Amino acid sequence: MPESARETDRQLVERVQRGDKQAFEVLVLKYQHKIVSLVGRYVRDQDEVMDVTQEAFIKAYRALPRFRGDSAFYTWLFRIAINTAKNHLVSRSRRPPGVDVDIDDGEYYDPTLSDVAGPEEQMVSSQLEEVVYQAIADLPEELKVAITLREFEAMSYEEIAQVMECPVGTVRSRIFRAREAIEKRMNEIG
Amino acid sequence: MSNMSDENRELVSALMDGEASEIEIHKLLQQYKLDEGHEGTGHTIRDTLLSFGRGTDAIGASRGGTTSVALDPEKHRVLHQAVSEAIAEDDTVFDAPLARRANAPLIRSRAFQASALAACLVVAVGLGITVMQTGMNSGGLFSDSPGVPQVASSGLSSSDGQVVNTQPVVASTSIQPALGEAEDREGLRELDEERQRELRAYLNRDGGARLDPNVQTVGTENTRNKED
Repeated sequence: MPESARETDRQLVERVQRGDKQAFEVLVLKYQHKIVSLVGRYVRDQDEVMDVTQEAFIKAYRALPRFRGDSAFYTWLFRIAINTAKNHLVSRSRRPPGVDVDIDDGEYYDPTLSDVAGPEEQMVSSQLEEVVYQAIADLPEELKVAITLREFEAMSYEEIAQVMECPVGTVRSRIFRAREAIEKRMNEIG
Repeated sequence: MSNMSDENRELVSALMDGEASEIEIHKLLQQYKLDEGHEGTGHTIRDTLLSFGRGTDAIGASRGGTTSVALDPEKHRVLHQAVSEAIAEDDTVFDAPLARRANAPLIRSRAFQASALAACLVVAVGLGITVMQTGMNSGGLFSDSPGVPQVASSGLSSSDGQVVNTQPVVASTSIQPALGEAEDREGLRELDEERQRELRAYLNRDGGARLDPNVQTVGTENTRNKED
């Protein structure tokens, strides 16, 4: 994750630490898909995934006064989510997965973990991925390059601007327009 | 009804990537608060973040080469609502945030300096007013009349003509107050060592190197001796 991302999170965290609860709600929005996916690696049932994710966010909120910023917020949050999921499995007398998720790569799936999604979820996910990929493929070239460098290479806007030889503001606009196009396609399938 | 502009949606996209500036984050949070009650319309910060996050998540899932539990958009909204409600009711106290801790020594130091400076100025203005009043009441700034305030250039010589104090004139000036009440005199004349140091430092800073910060600027000894 680029340094700029850490800076944005740090600003939001500082706002939460000053008592702005809605800043935490924005952090939840920013990371809830990733946390759901992460927890979903440990817990199969959708309702349980929601419960564990909720618990993880509440634990994070309560622990924020002690968060010193030594690590990135998302790393810290992912660690809490993983521990919450493991505790959940232990409390249910189930064995947690034998292989830990690498915190640094926690935002992406660890292929060494077993796939816990059921056939139905797999089908929905596959369909969604297909739609997203097709949407990206259909994008105008400059939007496609911008979103690809961002989402697949995790480049910062500054880096993308250098690669594409255009202003940072243009990169930002292109990524936004790419996301809008992807969103439109996703909404078509519900 | 809240209806997000393209500009705000672009800000949401930048926020997701950690590319929003502090002022933009502030703007988005303001909008987020305005959005309250309009969630689910597709035109709020929350809806946009959830929607963009869904796409990003789908790409992330494909990167790992596996599929996981996928929640539909409505369940994500329910989840976020549940977390928000739980947080709203939570009474976690945030008293010493990270950033403020890091900056605290500097902030405290500045606050202390400002307070000390203000205190010094008040004392200096008080002294000045007293001196002026003294001058007007007595027809001159310096008077030997009992009960009349004095600004004595003390410490230069004793009654036998010997120099007993070599402090600079300005630094050794002491003031005899106009009022007979001991408390009032003490209040005007006495500063503890720390404040004297601060006052000297301030005067030095403002007036160049006129004063030596290591010498006493305001004293009561000579005045007290006279009174005694």
